[in-house]
Amino acid sequence: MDIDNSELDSLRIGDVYYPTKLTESFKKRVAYKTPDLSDQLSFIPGTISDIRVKTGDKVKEGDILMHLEAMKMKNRVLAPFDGIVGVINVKEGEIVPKNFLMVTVKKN
Amino acid sequence: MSLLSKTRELRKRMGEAAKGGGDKAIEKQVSMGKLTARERIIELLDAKSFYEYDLFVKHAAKDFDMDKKDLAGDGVIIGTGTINGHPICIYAQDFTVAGGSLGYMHARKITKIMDHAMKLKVPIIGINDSGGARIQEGVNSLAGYGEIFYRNTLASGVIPQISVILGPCAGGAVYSPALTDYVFVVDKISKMFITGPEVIKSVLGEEISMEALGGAKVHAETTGNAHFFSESEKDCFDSIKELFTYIPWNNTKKADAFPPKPPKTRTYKINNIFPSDPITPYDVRDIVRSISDDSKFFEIQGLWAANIVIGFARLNGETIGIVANQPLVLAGVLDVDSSDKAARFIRYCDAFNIPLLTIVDLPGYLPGVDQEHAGVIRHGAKLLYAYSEATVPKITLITRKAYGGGYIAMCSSHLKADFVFAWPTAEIAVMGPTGAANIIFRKEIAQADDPDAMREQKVEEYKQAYANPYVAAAYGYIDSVIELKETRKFILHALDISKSKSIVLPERKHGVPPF
Repeated sequence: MDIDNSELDSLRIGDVYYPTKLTESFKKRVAYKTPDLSDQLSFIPGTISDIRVKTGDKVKEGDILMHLEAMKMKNRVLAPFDGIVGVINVKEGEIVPKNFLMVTVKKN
Repeated sequence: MSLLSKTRELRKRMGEAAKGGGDKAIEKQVSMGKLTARERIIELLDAKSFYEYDLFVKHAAKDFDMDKKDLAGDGVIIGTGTINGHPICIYAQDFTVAGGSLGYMHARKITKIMDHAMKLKVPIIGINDSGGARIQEGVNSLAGYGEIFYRNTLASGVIPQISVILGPCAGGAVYSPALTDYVFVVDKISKMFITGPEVIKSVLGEEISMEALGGAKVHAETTGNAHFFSESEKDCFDSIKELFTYIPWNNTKKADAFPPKPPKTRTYKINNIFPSDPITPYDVRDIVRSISDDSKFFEIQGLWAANIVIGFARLNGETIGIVANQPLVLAGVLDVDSSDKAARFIRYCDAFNIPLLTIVDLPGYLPGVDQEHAGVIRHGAKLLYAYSEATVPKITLITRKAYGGGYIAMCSSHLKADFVFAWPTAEIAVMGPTGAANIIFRKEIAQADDPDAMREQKVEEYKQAYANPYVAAAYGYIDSVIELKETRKFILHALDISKSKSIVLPERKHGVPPF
């Protein structure tokens, strides 16, 4: 019945720090980051196909950069804004996991 | 033919069918640490109470050479019997027969016993141990699943439905357990998932073992799909039998009453368990044990979303459903999972005439982008919906913190709790004292020569004036502020006086809850 203090962590709610146990899913949660649109990350694991640009190409917002095939769908990877293609980090036929940096676009 | 030879023939046929998939397949089943389907039924039910039906059912499939195959009982055993002397209907899939695969007649047997359970108004127990749809029977096996899901849905809230996962339960098959009241899993034996590791690997390139994807632990701790986790099949059957002591046989009955027993107050001294300051953690289950009969508490989903505690206890011999914030875990906050967990349990208790006791001590909702994006608004709303909708007797005990939205959600008098009690340590306020003082006295604090000292002073003033049960009591939102040692007495009286409670909700087909 006595509580083992060594098992307690601290959780802040409002202005108060509560000594308490944390759950596994709480410990595993990922801190939120504002997405940086110049880094195009794979939003699903899949296979790269049909790369249409190379480093240094000028692109307009909405231009197709490449395809990411997953779940029997060809997902278009689009230029997020007018800019210049930076690094292309993938090859056609490459299988990428989720959140893999595929291509970067620099804003004009 | 004489009667004797006819009887012999019957016995021979029964003996053959009862062998299931044959000695080799049974050996394999046993080597995996599993009982056979028939052994499971016998183990679970009262001794010599099981009667089997449809033993001689044969499948009618013709394609893919199925007409040449004979499958004993078509891979599932159905029947009736008793648990704790009460009648139940049961089916158990037999993995030794074609991997327990579900074909048309297999499903027909299951739906037949489900229909019986509904007609007889008795609980239905399903023991799942199946490789999934019988591919050779094509769309007929899909039809079978659909017929089962439909019956699960209609039986929901009418008769208790128990799912026991004692082997694989994959693909569409998982949705029958998900529609039932309680899912039991056993370590290293139960496996549940929609798409298995192989498909996940081939499509997404993610590698994961069956155990890590959908093993018993995963469903008991991470997904919340399972309600009871056991180390062995025998322990699992014991918990099923224990569960049945707390619940009624159908929605028109009350759970069995047991001889009243006082709590073991020497072990569970309420004053020793409970810290009076609002921050020190304690195990709220010990508070439950300090007031329940024989200090017993039968916890449900103890491993998942442990920041809220749900389960059954008895007070003066009668079952009560308990929902309690757990200060020991995540300070007892409400979040997506704890709201889901509590809301479903409240609806269960309401459907089966089980009064509710809510024990409140929470600092509020868990802050975070992940919570907001996971839909804490609609999940949190389930709790409000479930409490508001429930017409069984609702008793609330506020022990310490009841701040803000958390106060409203935890069966406040505004959601029509019948009785709200508070200990003198209760703090019922729009938010915690520090936060409130910072907002209300912002100017004074900013303009002070020593803002920190001023803040401290204002927080203290706010605490003195508002962090107590008396402001809420002054408006009648708290019915009684009670001493700790009087808790059981007050709750017993409240339950006693609520026996003939009757509320008529507006006429409607059904509500549209924030599922």
